[in-house]
Formats: sequence, C-alpha cells, structure tokens
Amino acid sequence: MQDKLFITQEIGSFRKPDYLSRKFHKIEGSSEFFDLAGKATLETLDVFKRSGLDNLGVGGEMFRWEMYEHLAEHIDGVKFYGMVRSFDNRYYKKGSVVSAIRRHDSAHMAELKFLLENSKGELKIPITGPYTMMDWSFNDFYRDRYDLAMAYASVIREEISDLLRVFRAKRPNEIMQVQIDEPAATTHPDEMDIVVDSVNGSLQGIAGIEPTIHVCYSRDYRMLYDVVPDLKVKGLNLEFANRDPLESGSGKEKRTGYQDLKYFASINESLQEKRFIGLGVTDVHIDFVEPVKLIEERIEEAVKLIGDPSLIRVNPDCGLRTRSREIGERKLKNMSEAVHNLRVKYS
Amino acid sequence: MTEVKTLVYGIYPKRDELRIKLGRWERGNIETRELLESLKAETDGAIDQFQSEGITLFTDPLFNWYDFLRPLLESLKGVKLGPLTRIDETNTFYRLPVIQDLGDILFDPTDFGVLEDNPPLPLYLSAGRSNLAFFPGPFTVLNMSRVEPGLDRITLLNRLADTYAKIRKAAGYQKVFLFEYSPGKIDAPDIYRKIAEPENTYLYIRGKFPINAFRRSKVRVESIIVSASENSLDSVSRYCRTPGIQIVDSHTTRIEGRDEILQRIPDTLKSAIVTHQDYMDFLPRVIADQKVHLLGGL
Repeated sequence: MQDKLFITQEIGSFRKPDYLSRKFHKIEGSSEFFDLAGKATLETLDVFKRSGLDNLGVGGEMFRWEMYEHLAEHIDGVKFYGMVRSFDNRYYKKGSVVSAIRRHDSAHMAELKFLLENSKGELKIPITGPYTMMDWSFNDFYRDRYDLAMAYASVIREEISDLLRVFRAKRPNEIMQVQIDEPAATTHPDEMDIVVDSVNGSLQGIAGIEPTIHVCYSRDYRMLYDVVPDLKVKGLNLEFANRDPLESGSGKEKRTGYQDLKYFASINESLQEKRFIGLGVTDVHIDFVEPVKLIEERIEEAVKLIGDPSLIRVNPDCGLRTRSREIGERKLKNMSEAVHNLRVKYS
Repeated sequence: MTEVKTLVYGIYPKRDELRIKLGRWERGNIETRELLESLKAETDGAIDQFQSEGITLFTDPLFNWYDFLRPLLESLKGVKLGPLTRIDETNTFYRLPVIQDLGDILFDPTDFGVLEDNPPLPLYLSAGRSNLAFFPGPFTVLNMSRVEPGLDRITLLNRLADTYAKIRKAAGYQKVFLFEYSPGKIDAPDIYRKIAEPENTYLYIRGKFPINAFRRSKVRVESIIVSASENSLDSVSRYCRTPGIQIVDSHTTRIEGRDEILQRIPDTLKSAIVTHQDYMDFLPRVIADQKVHLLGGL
C-alpha cells in the first residue's frame, strides 16, 4: 500500500445515518448503541470501499459524537458545566479542568476492537490532540496552558499505547496509523512551542506507529511548516480546498489555495526524513461536488510545488460529517477517480 | 472606601431550553412568533435576575444576537455577511461583516423583524428595563469587518455614530455601552460624542487606553472601563467621571473570591465600576450566573 502514489484517505468523521444520530445520546454506552454504531461503521466502510479509498480510517467515527467531548468524557479531572457557543446556535460541551487529569478508561478501544474484528482494510485512528484539548478546555487547575497541554499529552500517550497493544495482537505485521487532530494548532501564533512539545509528548516512547497531524482552517499554515522539523510526525493532513477557487485551471493564478506548499517544500527539502502532505482536495463545507478534473489540477499543482509525488496523499479537507452521506460519497468517488487517472500518468 | 457600582454587559449565555428552541426554529419546526415569545420570556428572566442580584448597570442580554456585530450591522444598508471568522484567539466565531457602504437603517430595530441568519429583531428585547444600550464600538466595527476599498474611514465612523444615536433614541435609551473589543487604533474619539451625551456614555476598551488620542480630543465620558493590569486608572480617571475595571474573568469557570476582587480595586479611587473582562457568552450559563452573583455581592 505504501508504494502507491497518492494514497487516498479519509480524515475522520462521516455523516451518521439517521437511525444512529437520532438515538446517539439516549442509548450511548448500551448494547443497542454498540449494535447501531457497529452497523453504521460497516455501512460507512462499504461507502469508503465503493468510493475507492485506500485507507478506510475508522469507518467515519460512528462511535463518537464530537471530537473534544469524546475524549474528555473518558478523563477524570474534567468537569462539564454546560454548553458553550462555537458559532451561531452551534454549541459544544466545553470541559473545565478542575483537578489533575487522568484517563479512567479508553475512549477509542471499543471502536478499534470492532474494526479489527470486522474489517481487514487499512485503518488510521484519529485522536484529538493535546493542544486542541487544552485550548478547548477551561483551565481551573494547572499553572498555565503549557502544563495543561502536557498533562493531556500524557493521557493521549497512554491511550495510544493501549490501542497499539490491541492492534499488534491482531495485526502483528502492520504499522498502526494514528492521526493527531489539532484544529486549534495555529490559533495562537506565540504558542507553537506548546503545540510541538505536547504533540511530541503524546508520541514519546511509542515505536511502531505512523503518526500524522491533521490541522484545518488555519489562518496561516506557515506557522505549522516552521515547526515541521521539530514535530515527530510522518506527515501533515491539511485542508486546502476550502481556500482554493472552484474554477478549473492550472498554475499559481488559478490554484491559489495551494501556493503555500512552496514554503512547506523549502523546509521539507532540508530534512533527512521528509514529511508527506495529506492534501485536502475537496471542501467539506459545500455541497458542490468537485469535478474530477479540478481535483486532478489541485493534485498536480501540489506535485509541481512539492516536487516529489510520493510525498503526497490525497484526502478531503476535514471530516465529511458536515455533508449528507450521498454528497460525501460522491466527493470521495471523484477524489479516487482523479487519483486513479494521475497514477496512470505518473507511474 | 471606594464606592462600587457593578456592570453586566453584552451577550449573556442562554439556557439550554432556549438554545434547543432556536435549533427547532432554524429547522423550521416552530414559527418565528413563537420563538420571539420565548426570547422575550428568557430576556425578562435574565433582567429579573440581574436586578435581584443587585447589579447596578446592565445591557440587554442579547439572546437574539448570534454574535456581537451581526444583527446591528445586518440592519444597515450596504453591509453583507462574510465568512465565519474566529473571534481573536478564542474558539468562538462570528460572521465577518463586509462593508460596501454604510447607509440607513433597513429595518425598524425596535420592532419585530426577520433577519437572515440571525434570530428576529428587536435589537433590545429588554428596552425600557435594561439601562444601557449595547453597541459594538465604532472602531471595533471597522477593525473587525472587511471594508471595501475606496471608503473613507472617518466618514464611515461618523455615519455609524449617527446611526447609533438614531437607534438609541428609537429604542428609548439615554445611556450607551460602547464595546471597543478590538478597536485597532482609536484616533478620533470625538465621534463618541455623537452617540450619546458624555454623562451617558460608558466606554469599554480592551487593551491599552489610547491616552494620546484622548489628550488631543475634548471628549470626556461617564466611564472608561479598562483592564487595571494594562492601564493606569489614575490616567483613565482624567477622561471620565467614574473609571471602570475589567476584573471578573469570563474565560475561566473558576469563581473568584469576593476579597480577591475587592483587593484589585485601588483605594485611591472615590468610585469605580466593576465588571467582567469580556462578555459572558464564553461561559456556560451556570457559571455566568455565579459570576453575576459574585458581582452583585460586592
């Protein structure tokens, strides 16, 4: 699989079927929940296979509701007082860290065990990263934001270690892929050192995994590129399509959303161990299904800027839960078709 | 002993019942009129609460404002809503106003009216009960918007100030609370005089107080509300009757102690307005209520 060019992957979430989303909170943790989440996972894996994805992820995160809450609910020391606005009438449960944090059980084990039992496909486990967990929490206990981020890093390290143990027992010859989700990574420009230390802290001492980082909707990815040499990840799965025009065309005037990859390439070329880019080629915030040709143009622009096509994987900008399952599938299909065409061209 | 007045301003977190109702309204499951009734009832409840806690000054809780710029700017000709944009370094977003012009008021801001992508008007559901009209500071409006090229900044500021004055009068307020959350450069403070009488103007400024601009201008207001850790309250006092201090933290769920708050009010002040650092909508409702209780008990 790793020898393929332009490996196609999902970023994480996919829209839940109504039979699961309607009941999710009412039945969470019950045997009915595991039945329905399992059923939805299998159906979503089928969608991904039909769409031609190389990496099936965790089948669209059917066992999870929201990325922050899912992990925080498994941690002692985090207290929920209520909902806090994200935008408009969209709210999330923002936890307060009121004492030393400690994982009381695994947030992702049930999902992983289900996948190992029911899927043979390549998988990548998304886990909300320590910096984002810190940034989206109230800190009523730790001395400062650095200390809280590092405390979350310990929790996540423990989680990954447990998942790896179970993964290895079932698939001893495979590398476990872990995607650290850090949407908040570049929101405080003067805290990139905290991002680096906490992400690295989450992975410290864990061998035999392929860690990546996912960041989206950054005001400026150059902040992230600047710290790539220090980040102990193999690749960066990023959103680009959202910032790129929908009109077809090639070159820097047309593919404006991808131009900062030139800066990434200038940093990456100095590294002994090059990082790959998971290239966001389809926008998860619009129903417009990007035509195959437009996706090909986006990938080819990235090839021009990065130079080496083997350093490019291809994915949606972010989780596709924001779109209907039908639109999500059509977007993924076009993505796979574009990659198929380019593999012929570049092989 | 400093005489302390307390102030609660800006968007206040809504209870879950109203949040859920707004979701149902967005999906078209309930009529706008029904939503408006719920908004009014929730607003009345919050005003009752502020009064019973002993808060001296308060704005409308703005339960029908999706962000602190949107409904007001949406009511003006020449302003469109742009993309979701992060509020400073928080995890909360607002719709970037795109200013193509700043014209007249399109809707009666005091009456029922349906806006796009925002719950219905009136702007102030508690007009007649709350004692300050909330406005985003004019400098903040321009700094947090995308202003089309070719528009003259001072002209826009003056038009905005004139419009604020019209809205204030129409809604029946004498006093205004001007929220300069992210003003950039306040280089023409005299425009504040167009909005309300100086003795009725309560000016919140986040960050450094622009002392040079005020020194050059003739403007004096009732209160300038600043962070004491970033500003000299003695300097601020020269430009207002009662300095205000942003003390209670709206970005932590930890409830400060009463003594901790009182210690941060300088003894040298004859009187002071004590308030929160940012509007309360960054907190869960239950915590905001406790912080209001703390303020009311000072």
